[in-house]
Amino acid sequence: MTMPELKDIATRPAFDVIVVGGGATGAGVARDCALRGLSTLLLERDDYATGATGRNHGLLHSGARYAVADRANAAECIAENHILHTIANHCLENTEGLFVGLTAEDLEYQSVLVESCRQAGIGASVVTADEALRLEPALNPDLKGAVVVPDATINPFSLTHANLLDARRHGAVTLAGVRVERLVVEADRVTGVKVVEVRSGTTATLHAAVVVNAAGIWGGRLLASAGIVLPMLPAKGAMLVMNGRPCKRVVNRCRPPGNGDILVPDGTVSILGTTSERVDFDQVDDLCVTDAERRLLLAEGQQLVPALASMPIMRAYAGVRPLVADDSDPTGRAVSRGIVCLDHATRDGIDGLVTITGGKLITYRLMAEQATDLVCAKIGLSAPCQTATTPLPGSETPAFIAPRPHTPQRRHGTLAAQMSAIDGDRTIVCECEGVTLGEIRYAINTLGATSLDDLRRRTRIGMGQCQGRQCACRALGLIAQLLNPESAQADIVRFLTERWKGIQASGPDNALLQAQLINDMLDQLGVGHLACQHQQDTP
Amino acid sequence: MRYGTIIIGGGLSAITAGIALARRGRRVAVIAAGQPSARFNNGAFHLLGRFDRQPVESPLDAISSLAGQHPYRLIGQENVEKFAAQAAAILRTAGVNIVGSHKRNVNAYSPLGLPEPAWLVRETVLSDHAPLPSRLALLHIKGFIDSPLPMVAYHLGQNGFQVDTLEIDTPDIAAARRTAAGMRTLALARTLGGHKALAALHAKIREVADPLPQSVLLVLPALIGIDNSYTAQLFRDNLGRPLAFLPSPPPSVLGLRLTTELRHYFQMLGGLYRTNQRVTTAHTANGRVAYITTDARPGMHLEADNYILATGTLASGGLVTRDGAVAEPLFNLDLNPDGRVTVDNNLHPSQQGQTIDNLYAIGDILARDPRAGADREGVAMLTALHAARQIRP
Ligand SMILES: Cc1cc2nc3c(=O)[nH]c(=O)nc-3n(C[C@H](O)[C@H](O)[C@H](O)COP(=O)(O)OP(=O)(O)OC[C@H]3O[C@@H](n4cnc5c(N)ncnc54)[C@H](O)[C@@H]3O)c2cc1C
Repeated sequence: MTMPELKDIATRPAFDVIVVGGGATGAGVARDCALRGLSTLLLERDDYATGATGRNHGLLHSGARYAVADRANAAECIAENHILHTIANHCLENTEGLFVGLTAEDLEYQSVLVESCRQAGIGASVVTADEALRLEPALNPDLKGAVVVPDATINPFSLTHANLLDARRHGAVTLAGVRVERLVVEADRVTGVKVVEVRSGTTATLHAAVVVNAAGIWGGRLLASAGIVLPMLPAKGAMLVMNGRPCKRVVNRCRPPGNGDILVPDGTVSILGTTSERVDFDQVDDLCVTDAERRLLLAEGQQLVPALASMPIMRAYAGVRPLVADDSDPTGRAVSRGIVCLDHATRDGIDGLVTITGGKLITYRLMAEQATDLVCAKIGLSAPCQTATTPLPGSETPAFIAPRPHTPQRRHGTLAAQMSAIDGDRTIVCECEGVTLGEIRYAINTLGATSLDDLRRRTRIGMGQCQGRQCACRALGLIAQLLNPESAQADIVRFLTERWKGIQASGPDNALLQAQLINDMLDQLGVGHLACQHQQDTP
Repeated sequence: MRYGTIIIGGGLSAITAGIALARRGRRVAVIAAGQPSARFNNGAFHLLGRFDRQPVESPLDAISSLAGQHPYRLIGQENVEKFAAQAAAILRTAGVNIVGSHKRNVNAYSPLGLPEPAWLVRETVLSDHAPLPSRLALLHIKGFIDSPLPMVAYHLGQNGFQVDTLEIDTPDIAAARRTAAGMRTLALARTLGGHKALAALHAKIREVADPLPQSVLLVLPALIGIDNSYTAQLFRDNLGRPLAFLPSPPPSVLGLRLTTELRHYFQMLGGLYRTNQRVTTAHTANGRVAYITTDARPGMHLEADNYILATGTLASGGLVTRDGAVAEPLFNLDLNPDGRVTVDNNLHPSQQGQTIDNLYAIGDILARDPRAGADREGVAMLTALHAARQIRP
């Protein structure tokens, strides 16, 4: 199967819906629209899940984190948490979570937390310090008490691709590498979008009855092209990938949400986060984790789990929360809480346009439902939403046994069965993450990967301990074979540059070592002279 | 325990120094902690392949442009020439079937199929030491992905070759393909190393290549001959038509073979080779190394007249980082701003400015010139020979 390109689409008659943005929200909207029978086109400027969706903490909230300050938000979380356990079981690991109290103040917060959880319908049970240490021996031995909540972890890449796959199965067209330049407005109505295919520079105008803005933090710019003002407030969050999994469960600090207070396990590593800092809009496309952020995260994280002090950091990354200024606050400084679903006909007098943003990764489905309800109302279609009960591809059967980490099953659920059809498909390409040849083939043919970085997002190749040193070369050959060799050549340098950015931010000791290892590898491939280039060119 | 010379490290520089000393009858021990770096070798040896990222034609001519701290400048042009010839002779005697000379670089093809300027290259490996025909046929072992052959075909095509790809499959290969790890380079090389498997592969290649004109050069990933060069040579010579081997990325057959060949030669000369021992402490007094200890017998002092430090970089643990600064962990030697060990013209390093007279530092651990590229094997072997020559009974 080959993925359609812009030129195949440009000649088609108008779509019912064009969705701008291929994060979890856009993917969810495309799926919901397609399931309700709308002809749907999704456009993503880069690769899918490269925005906030690919750069977050991966926590499937129980809602406990928000229970005290924002009960409605918490109730939304627990409801979606339950739904995802049935419709997306292959995308999550049911770890449970702990809120750990270290001080007398924490313990005071604990009683408020437990009561708030009860009111929001979140199961929360108090355990003694001894019990907490029995559950998680790596916790700070001086802890005062803990609460067990139904937190879990979620793989945003698997989730996004399962939604895209189902959207395509129901007739939607999804295009990556196509940027929407602006909205087309005719007589107070958005009638389509002007787009450019990033790789070729080809432009086109595409039409639809309704355009859905699911472009995350970049959505403000898109709206501005139609003269609509929606102030967005980028809030950067930094995370560290720690090379170890000291705790089986998600560990939260039992106090009002703050910096470095959550440790989320992910396979055999753990992600320590996060921070929150307003950044200028011109920074959102080029984020790096600073020394100060790394130190802050480590200092806070060590209080919860002392072992983090001596654990190697594999890499660091940052994302931007798509926060929207609250329409009701004239200063534009207050952030609207929860999901932001706007009908621009009523808000701005421009019809044919819906914005869906705010919220969280784990409320993507509810956000999609709200946006699609609006779309249907505009088109005059009454079709019920099915996404709360229809499993995603890969999660058709209930999860009886959690698949082992580092297997295709873990990433693609039941779909993994089709990845060993051909002789040789079982050959391992990436030892660290257990990526097989069949999975690579699937990621290219069915999930539309066109580069090493695309493969990483679809299969986790190169995300393990070796950071791609062992597998990059093999994957490169496969890309050259299954796609084209011209792009593959530029690819390895780009891939390692990306990795290098994350490694550099992990701290000087690891960075020096990894630089040496990467250089050694490139030397052996006969491209050592390119290595120094990418390392010097990265600021 | 007392030795003439103790060499710390197990890579190409360590073993070269060991061979040079043992050849002259010195009592010498090599103490290697982990995997020797020579296993990364891809069949080519580089003296000075690039300067400022540009390919170098004649390495000797380019040496005068190098910064003063580069080992070649310390050794001196004349010695570079002499030691380069000696190094090639050592490799040949050890059974490493190389061609090439330090006067002029040849292009050796890398695992990606890119030509890279090299000083010496194994005679069976794809290079332009003798003129190459315009047409090549890549032999693709079905299901073998450690060599990125489609990429290689593309690069060779860009370099002006007409390239065909022929698929090779035998029952042994098919069996390996059905397992998760059977197609890894070394696993497959072991599978194909048996008599019957090798014969089947041989027959298959002949059959598949039969329709092609005799002038076409067949190119097979280097999967033959894990422990000696002779097997690969025989395999090629018995084919009755031209064949060259393409290196695969590490861990590779060529790398493993080199380690084996050099170690055997060293041991044949009476050298003592101890693996899986890490030198943990080193004691100096009055500008001399007094003794060292290892993790195998921490209480035992190992003494020698001379010591050679060939422990490599951060990658092999010869250097370590502490809070973002590089340090040499055994002797706490003085480093340059790039985090490499600085030495005098005799390759003696220093501790807080004081030269250590019976210690030599060689190989990757040494300060370089960042503009010099593809000079690893040359630096490793030439500094080894320079150190060895100064050690007298
Ligand atoms: C540090 C951090 C930690 C977080 N942790 C969690 C967590 O643990 N759990 C949780 O549930 N949520 C978490 N979140 C929130 C969550 O990541 C986001 O709410 C969610 O990913 C938003 O998804 P989205 O699809 O709306 O936006 P994005 O993922 O940002 O998607 C927008 C997409 O639109 C594309 N786009 C933009 N402009 C254009 C254009 N003109 N044309 C075409 N495409 C365009 C972008 O390339 C992008 O792919 C976290 C967020 C951050 C920043």
